[in-house]
Amino acid sequence: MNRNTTKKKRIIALCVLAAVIVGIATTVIVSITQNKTSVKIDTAEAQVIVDDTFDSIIPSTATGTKAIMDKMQITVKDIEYGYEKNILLSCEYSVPNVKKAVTDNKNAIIDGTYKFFAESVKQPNATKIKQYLSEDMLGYINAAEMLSGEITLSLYEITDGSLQLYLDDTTVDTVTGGLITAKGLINSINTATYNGETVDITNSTTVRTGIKDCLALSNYDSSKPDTSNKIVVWFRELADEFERNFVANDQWLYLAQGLGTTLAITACAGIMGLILGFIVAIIRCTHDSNGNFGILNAICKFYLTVVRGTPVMVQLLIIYFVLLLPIGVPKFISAVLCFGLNSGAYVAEIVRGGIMSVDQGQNEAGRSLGFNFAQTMIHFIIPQAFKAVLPSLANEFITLLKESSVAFYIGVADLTQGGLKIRSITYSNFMPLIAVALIYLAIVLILTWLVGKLERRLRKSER
Amino acid sequence: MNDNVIIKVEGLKKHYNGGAVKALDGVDCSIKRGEVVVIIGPSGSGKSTFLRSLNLLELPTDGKILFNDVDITDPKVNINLHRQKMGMVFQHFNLFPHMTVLKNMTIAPTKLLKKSKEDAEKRAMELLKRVGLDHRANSYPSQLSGGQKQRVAIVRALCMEPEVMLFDEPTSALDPEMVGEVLDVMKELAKEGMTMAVVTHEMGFAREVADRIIFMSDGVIVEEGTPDEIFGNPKNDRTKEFLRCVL
Ligand SMILES: Nc1ncnc2c1ncn2[C@@H]1O[C@H](COP(=O)(O)OP(=O)(O)O)[C@@H](O)[C@H]1O
Ligand SMILES: [Mg+2]
Repeated sequence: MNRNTTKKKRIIALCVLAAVIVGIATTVIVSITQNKTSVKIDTAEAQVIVDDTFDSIIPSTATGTKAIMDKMQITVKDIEYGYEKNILLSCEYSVPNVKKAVTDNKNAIIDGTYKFFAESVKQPNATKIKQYLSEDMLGYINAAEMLSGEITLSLYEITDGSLQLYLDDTTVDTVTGGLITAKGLINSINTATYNGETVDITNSTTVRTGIKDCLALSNYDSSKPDTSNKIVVWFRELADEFERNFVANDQWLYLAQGLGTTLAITACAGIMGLILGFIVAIIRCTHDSNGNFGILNAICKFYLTVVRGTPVMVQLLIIYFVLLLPIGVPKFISAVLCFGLNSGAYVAEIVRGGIMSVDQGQNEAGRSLGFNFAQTMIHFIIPQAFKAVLPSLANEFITLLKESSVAFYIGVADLTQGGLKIRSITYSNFMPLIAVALIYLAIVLILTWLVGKLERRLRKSER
Repeated sequence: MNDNVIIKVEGLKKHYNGGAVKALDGVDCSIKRGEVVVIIGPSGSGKSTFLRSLNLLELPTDGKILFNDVDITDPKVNINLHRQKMGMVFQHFNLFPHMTVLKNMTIAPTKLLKKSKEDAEKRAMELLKRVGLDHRANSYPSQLSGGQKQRVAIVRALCMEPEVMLFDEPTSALDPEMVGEVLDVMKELAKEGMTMAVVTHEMGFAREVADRIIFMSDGVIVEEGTPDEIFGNPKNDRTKEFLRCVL
């Protein structure tokens, strides 16, 4: 029965550990593979798509622009296929001759655009539109002239496999001369803004179609189209956060180094506590059994009372700022001394309980063979006491590991401090703090598992 | 001093709670080399206290205990050295549970007598063989039956080559079917000439093996004599009463 429960515990511990590892691994993998998925279409294919797309934009935007297109050399500059851009594909185009093409065709553009819009929104505002357009097209052409010669457009693959052109807001402004701001799905757009004035286009199929064609989008949304499901989005955001908090600038090193410090403090303080605890426990037990060590016993009692009666944080502050800082002892050593002293008190009481729990007959057996008090303790009582209190000692050690996190109060760069450092750089709370917690948890689980193993080995002798 | 006397007890008193409980109230007695003394008496009469006083597991309130003519109650005496020569067997075996049978038996000779591991193990195996437990040398105590444990406890004490063996109710914690195997070992030990002081309720054993029987009651020795005298013709009323109850 006992074996079964430990088995169960072990399985649970392993599961949690596995979950932690899988979680961390997923985030890491996602963040690493980001931008690195293999390219699925080649440049030639992309070029075809680009040409087609532009062909579909230009004629309906403004007939005059068609002329521009003929003169422009649109080449696919770069294909990015990856997670970041969400839908697997984005293309950067080089449109080097846009400035010249626009300038050369100034009049054609104005005419064409005017015709297009004038026809589209004949009623009831045709006159007004005509006026605006002639003025604004000039502005548009000026804007186009100012272009550096490159526009970035992105192609996205939609879940059904078709490709869509996505223009970011700046590009939309450029293409439409800042005249049209379309938000939401194009099919549900009922108003269009023409130079600040909102026009109802609910009944204007031409305009609707025009805008739609203009943008070559069947369901244009001013935000990036996101066709992935919620879990994927969540994971991506997590990955981004992970990247920002840990990968960027190698910030994970704060955690790694902090973990090292935490483990070092815990190990040193643990060993010190163990030794101190055993000494105190033996003094107390010896005093209880034969009245020796009166003064030492009194000192031990005082030590136990003070340490167990005050918070470890206060002890740390006093030990460092009051006692050790003035004589130039480093923070790390101060922390080890403090936690060692603190742990020693708890270990002492645990061990004392363990020694008292060993059958008095063991003592008598040892003494009757001729062993003296100390030998009996060493050979018979303490090994059994140790075995009896091992789980409690392990718990104490685990407590120590966790309590050592207050070391950051005196500025020791431990694990907790590492997390806080990252937090102060990235202003995120979730990632750094959860990471710190997970690391503590992982260490604790590993320790628990190790102690379980040790315990089972020790128990063999009593089976 | 009589060379033949190994233990001599004079005016031994053990009081608890500032004299409220007089576990021993003036015991005088001596045990000769090779003698088997069986101590009987009702529960609480001080038998255990007496036996445990002999190797100072109980510190006497008053009186002297001479072991090989040395007063071991003298605080200046190193009692640990004398205890090495007095084997003790307890009611509850008190084997060391974290050690194998062999280790139980060899730890004292190697640590205290500075015997080599090989010598100690050789001797231990000899003794184990004699009590028929050589095949359990590497077992842990928890793997043994009560009778086996007690036999190991006896040979563990014998590993120190003691001059006297003290038994405090060695069969009281055993299931009845295991009592025999332990008594057999003790009988054999007696036959070999070991000096033994045995507290027991096994009257058959007492009658068969004892050279002398001591009847204790209320912390004093009420009557002593050969088995025939005690069992055949007890003089004291309390002895008679006790024997009527146990026989
Ligand atoms: N540590 C102790 N404190 C107080 N009284 C004790 C203690 N040990 C034994 N006694 C008392 O001493 C008396 C003798 O005990 P004991 O020698 O164990 O008797 P026996 O072995 O003959 O049954 C009993 O009355 C017992 O209650
Ligand atoms: Mg008794």
